[in-house]
Amino acid sequence: MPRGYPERPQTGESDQLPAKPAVRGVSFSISPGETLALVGESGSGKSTIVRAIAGLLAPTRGRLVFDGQDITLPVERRTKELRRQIQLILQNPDASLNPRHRLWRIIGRPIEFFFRTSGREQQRGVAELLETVQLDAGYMWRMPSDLSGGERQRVAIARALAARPKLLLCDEILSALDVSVQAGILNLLRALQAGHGLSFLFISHDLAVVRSLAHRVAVLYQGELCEVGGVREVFSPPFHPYTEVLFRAQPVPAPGEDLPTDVPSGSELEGEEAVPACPFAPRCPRKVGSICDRVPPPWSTVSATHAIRCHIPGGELAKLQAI
Amino acid sequence: MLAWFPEWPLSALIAGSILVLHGVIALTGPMWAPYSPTKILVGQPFASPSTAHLLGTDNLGRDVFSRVVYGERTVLTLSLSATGLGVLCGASLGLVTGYARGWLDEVVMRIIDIMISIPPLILALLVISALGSSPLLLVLTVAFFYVPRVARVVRAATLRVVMEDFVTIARARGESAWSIAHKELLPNVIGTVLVEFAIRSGYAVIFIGSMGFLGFGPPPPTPEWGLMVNQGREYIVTAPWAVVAPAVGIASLVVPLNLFTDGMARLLGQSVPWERH
Repeated sequence: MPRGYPERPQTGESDQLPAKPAVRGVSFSISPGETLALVGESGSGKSTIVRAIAGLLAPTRGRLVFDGQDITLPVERRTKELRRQIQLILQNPDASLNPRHRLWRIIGRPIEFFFRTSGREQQRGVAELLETVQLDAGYMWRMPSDLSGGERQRVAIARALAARPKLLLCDEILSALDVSVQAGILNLLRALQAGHGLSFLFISHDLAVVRSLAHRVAVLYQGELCEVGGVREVFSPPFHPYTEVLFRAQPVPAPGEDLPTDVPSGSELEGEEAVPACPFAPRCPRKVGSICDRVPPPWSTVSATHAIRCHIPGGELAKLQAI
Repeated sequence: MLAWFPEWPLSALIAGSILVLHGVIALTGPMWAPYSPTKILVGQPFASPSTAHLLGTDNLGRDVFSRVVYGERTVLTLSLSATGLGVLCGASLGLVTGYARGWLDEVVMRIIDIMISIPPLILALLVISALGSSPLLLVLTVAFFYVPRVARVVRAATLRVVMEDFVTIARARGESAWSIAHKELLPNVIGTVLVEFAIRSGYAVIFIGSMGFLGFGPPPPTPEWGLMVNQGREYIVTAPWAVVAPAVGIASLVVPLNLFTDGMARLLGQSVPWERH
């Protein structure tokens, strides 16, 4: 059974910017055993989406569907079973483990909470989980301060796995780590997906990481989706102009030919200035004209699984971007 | 011995030992004190210190040493139970408001602002002169003053922790507010609570001593140090020991308490808020 999240979360008055919702008109789905990467710069609303799915903030509009069940509910009103199936891993491993608890307590708590096991059995569960994330079972007696950043992130993964989830929400979980450590955790995530049939919603701004882990990619700009597709499709032309900018911004060991690289670096919208119909229009190197400011761009289908939201049709983008 | 506590400053260790001594006297004093604290004419009035009366006798011929020893239990019981009650309620309130935030926090904090603006001594005198002096009332009054002050400090400490990701994770798991408060938050603010308890115990000793001195503490002939200082005051020239002994008792409790708090706070990485009252 496919699991999906057609969703339109919007943060309401409770958030700091009442005039402009953090996320608008975002809709996507994730199948079992699939990794969907959500890509975008900071402030694009990636974490808002994760928090909405986790039930930590309520969308003002739209729906979240999990296993055919409407889950547009705050965490307090979700069933325990649902909370168990969706688990969250956050960016900063230093802040996500209680510095006053030993690892057996950190990892043991979800076991106790969801499965009501304690004592020996719980301890065995903790040991198994530590081994699953390739840490020694003896680590359970340590404090988080005894661990390196990479080890802490493995513990955070083990804590999420303790609930035996179906969907793991990974919010920038590699960005605080060294590249060498990232590789180890990437391999671990791949192994976990193969072994447990887990679905990942993987949030990242690191395109190399996304390319190596994701099956599908959704590109987010200022709270709106601008491109959705399979990882190969998104990573080759035609690109949405914003996706193109993202790739250009990546440092490349051997720079390519002359391309339009003079992208205006982010113009912040000030005060009462109207939000353009296409949020990327003010920065877009391929802006067509005033239509971009006035008319919301349509979704154009490149293939059955690949869609780009731009006034320039996919075929033309491909021609422009062909090297 | 020092090797057991390598991280504690020497002053805090010495202070700690003196505090242990106070505790031992309070617990066992009545077993070995030479005389009853309230029996009059166990010796000549105003007898100077001697082997029979280590710290002399007072105007009624009561043994000052025995009274000081018995007084220890009174002073410690009153100040520790007042501080304990105040810190317990204040810390719980601070933890709850710091976690809940929102309108509850706003309302409670404004009430706390009002409570803090009441001058302690004046209200204490008012309450006790209206309702009569009793040890229980004294304890409740001191606790009442401590609740808002401790709540404010613990709330600030809680606010620093509550935004941390491990709290978010616990919330996403669906942990109850109670469970988050005592499993996730409390272990991170317990240092603050301990420092508050230690520093406020010292204040409580002084405050309760002052109340005793003004006649608003336990009634005579209870061997309470503040009361003893007041009663001996008239005869300070003929029998200075009757004033000095209980005064030294108070000082030898308050000064080590402050030194010990200082060391403990440094060890726990907390600030020492000496100006706070």
